[in-house]
Amino acid sequence: MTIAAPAQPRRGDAVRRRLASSPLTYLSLSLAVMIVVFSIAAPQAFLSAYNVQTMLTVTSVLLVMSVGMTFVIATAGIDLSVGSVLVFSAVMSLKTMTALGGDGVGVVLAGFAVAALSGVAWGALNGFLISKARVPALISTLGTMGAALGIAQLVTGGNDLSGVPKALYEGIGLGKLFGVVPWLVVIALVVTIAGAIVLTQTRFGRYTLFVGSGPEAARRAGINVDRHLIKVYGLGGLLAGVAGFLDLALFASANIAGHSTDNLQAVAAVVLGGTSLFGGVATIAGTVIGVFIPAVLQNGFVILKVQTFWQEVAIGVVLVLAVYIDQFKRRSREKS
Amino acid sequence: MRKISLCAPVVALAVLTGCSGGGEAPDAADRPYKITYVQGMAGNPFFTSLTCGAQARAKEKGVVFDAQGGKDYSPQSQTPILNGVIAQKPDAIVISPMAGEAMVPALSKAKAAGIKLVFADSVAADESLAVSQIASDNQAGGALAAKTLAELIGDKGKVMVMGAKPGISTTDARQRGFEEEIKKHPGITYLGSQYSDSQPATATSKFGAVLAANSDLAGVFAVSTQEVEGVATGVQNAEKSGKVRIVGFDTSDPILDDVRNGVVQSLVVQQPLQMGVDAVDQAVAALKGESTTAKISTPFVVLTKDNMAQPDIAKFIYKTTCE
Amino acid sequence: MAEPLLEARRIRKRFDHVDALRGADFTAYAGEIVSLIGDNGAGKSTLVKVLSGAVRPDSGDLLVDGEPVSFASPTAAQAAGIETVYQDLALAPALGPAANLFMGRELTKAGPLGRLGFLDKAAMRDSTVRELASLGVKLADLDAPVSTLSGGQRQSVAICRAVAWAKRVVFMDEPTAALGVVQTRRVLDLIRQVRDRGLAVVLITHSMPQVLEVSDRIEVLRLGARVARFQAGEAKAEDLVAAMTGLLTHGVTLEETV
Repeated sequence: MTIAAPAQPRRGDAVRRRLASSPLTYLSLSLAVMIVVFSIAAPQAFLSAYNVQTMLTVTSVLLVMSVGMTFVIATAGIDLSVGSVLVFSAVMSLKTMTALGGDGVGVVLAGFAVAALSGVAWGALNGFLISKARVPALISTLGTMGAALGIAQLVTGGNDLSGVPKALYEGIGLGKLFGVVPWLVVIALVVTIAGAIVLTQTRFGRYTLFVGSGPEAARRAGINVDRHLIKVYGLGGLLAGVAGFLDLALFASANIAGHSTDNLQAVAAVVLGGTSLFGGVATIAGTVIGVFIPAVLQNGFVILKVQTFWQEVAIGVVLVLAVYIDQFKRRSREKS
Repeated sequence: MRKISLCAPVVALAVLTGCSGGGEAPDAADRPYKITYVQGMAGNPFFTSLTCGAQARAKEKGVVFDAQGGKDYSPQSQTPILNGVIAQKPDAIVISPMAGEAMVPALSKAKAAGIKLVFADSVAADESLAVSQIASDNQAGGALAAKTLAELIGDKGKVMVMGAKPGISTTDARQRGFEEEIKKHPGITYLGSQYSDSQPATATSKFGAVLAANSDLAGVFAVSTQEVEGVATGVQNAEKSGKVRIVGFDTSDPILDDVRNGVVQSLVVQQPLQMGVDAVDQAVAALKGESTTAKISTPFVVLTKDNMAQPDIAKFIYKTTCE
Repeated sequence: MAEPLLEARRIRKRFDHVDALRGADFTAYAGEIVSLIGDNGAGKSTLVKVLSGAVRPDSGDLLVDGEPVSFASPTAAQAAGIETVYQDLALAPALGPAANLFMGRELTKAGPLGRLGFLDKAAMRDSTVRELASLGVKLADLDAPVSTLSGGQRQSVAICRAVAWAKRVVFMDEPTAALGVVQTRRVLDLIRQVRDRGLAVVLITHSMPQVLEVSDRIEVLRLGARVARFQAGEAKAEDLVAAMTGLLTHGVTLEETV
């Protein structure tokens, strides 16, 4: 038994040590290296304003979806329905805006509300199936993935829809803040920062990690795990719906068949960024890196005229490495 | 005489079972033919139009007709549909099969069971399975796109192809046709092709990268509607509508808008309605024991902003429903 | 003797067709370590669940500080100052000691941010530093996930959490079952510290040596009822085993069980 207060390690030391061993550090370095290499190899093309803007803009939609997926995977869950929910939300939103007619801000806001609500509805359904009906997440979201896309196909007859209001398409899709930063990027940035704050600074974020790392402990501590899961999947669905709305702005259309691999791209981005599939460990900053590594690789390879198939191989290798490092760190950390 | 001796046991049986008539197979003309169309995928305007053409023709000829398709353009989705259709034992199956060997086993079984097969739009590896194949000559379509694009850019400058997924026979053929034709234009520099994985977002990204590396890019051939949507967005983001010319393939509502707005200059349009009509005709001919045409090549039209309102072009725009 | 902090009288509980508790009694006083022992199937875990609010009894009385109470949930028992250290520790391995200490009872920032659920991480960390120090628990990295700690350290964190919130009773279910000799020593020392703060520690364990070493009192359960109560030093290991197997009773008046 000690009498004097023991010397606690300085916060700074521990932080520095953890930074050195953190996968996020290595990932950020990898991305930085890629950017430097491509910048040197093709500065006019890679660093041109148009290229940077396009890369950021197109990635915005996936980033918004991946922020939601980060929360879901943090609960040791998964959501395969995000691509289908995106399509469903985009279709419902566009149908609403077309029915309301006109081009005003009100119409656009109504469209946004419909997209968001559609997303939340599917997300809450996923959460309910997983927590109350106890259907494993993989199966539940596989089911809603089919159902959401199926309904969208029924409603549209499988045809891409046009008729996005100009205010949305030109204002947000093509428009730029201060004439420089595309609005889509601004929106994605706001969502990302909000997601990071919620995950790390709020009770909601912490409960998400508890549910992933120790659901039984959480229950005994009085946390309503079922209700929290519904909220987390609801959030995932909400962001998929918002992504659908952003997709309308970007492409001026609701595309039915072009989102079939969005779910895996989002999962890959989240896992690549260091969020653990086993739950309890999550990082939005990592998700951002995870979204941009494949995007930067693809962009650089096309500019440098590298064969398509090498792109796929490179991205696959990076993903496997990231998951391997995550597993390795987990195992080496656990002593007894 | 043979008829009677065959009939005797049958008649004896008939007395017991109450069947009527002699020992011959029922005449197929007594009941209508049943033809099913297995689409490349459900919910796609091209295949919907094919269905509409076939449906209308079937009605004219008093044929029982229905169509089914999988949820996406892949062997995994088409196989269970085909198997289900075969189990219903139609007289003939019109199919837009996945390329290569994937559908051959099931189709061979169908043929062995006496079902007549007609290929529409694409063919499976064993072409002898079908009594007729009706398709656009996609390679010729690609060449037509190349000529159209060459004309649009004044026969000089840099061009690229935005492809779909390697391994899809139709889009691969279009790309090949484009590349062969473009070689004949010495003033044009071909930058090569990129694959969009049939996703507009990927098409926008990759097009953006090529444009960033080649700011003097003059034209793009986009091999199908997904690619056209992606490239059109990329061109608009770059504020180069009309400066980078786009020639596309097939129609959809959003890309027709793009044509109206001058973002996309031309669309090479197939005639799926005609394919459907021809497919039913060929199937019926085979069932009646008449001669069939081994290969039918349906023509193209080139749709532009100027001609799209004219009825003789507008009628080729793919349908979203059969009304 | 002073008023018991926690008392159970004639508790009955039936699951399906099994009578887990048949009029069980239990008493715990402040500032003592009382061991609750019994053979498998004696009803120990059910009794502990009833006392900590996880299970509602069919009949019988629960008293806290002499007043009758009824616990609707473990949270209600926690409100009465009763905490439990579970055998599986009930920690979230991926999070640090501070997060685990405040699980379900997080401190939020003052003002509107707090209402939105913003955590006061600094306050929780400081509090954790103090609590760990007060029990002499030393951790190399206070922010590292609990999964990186040794078994003994994890056990200490779980005990520290219970002690931080407990006002009356701390239940400890097999606290040293998974630990080696040295770590077991440390945890037993820790348990004594908890007792010295004035709390009642209820120890559930199968280790007779441990029971004899550390308990102030021992209560023996058999077939859902209390059959023996011993003061420290009154019993030897054979006596405890005999009580558990029904060969002797001590210090109780048995009622007829229905």
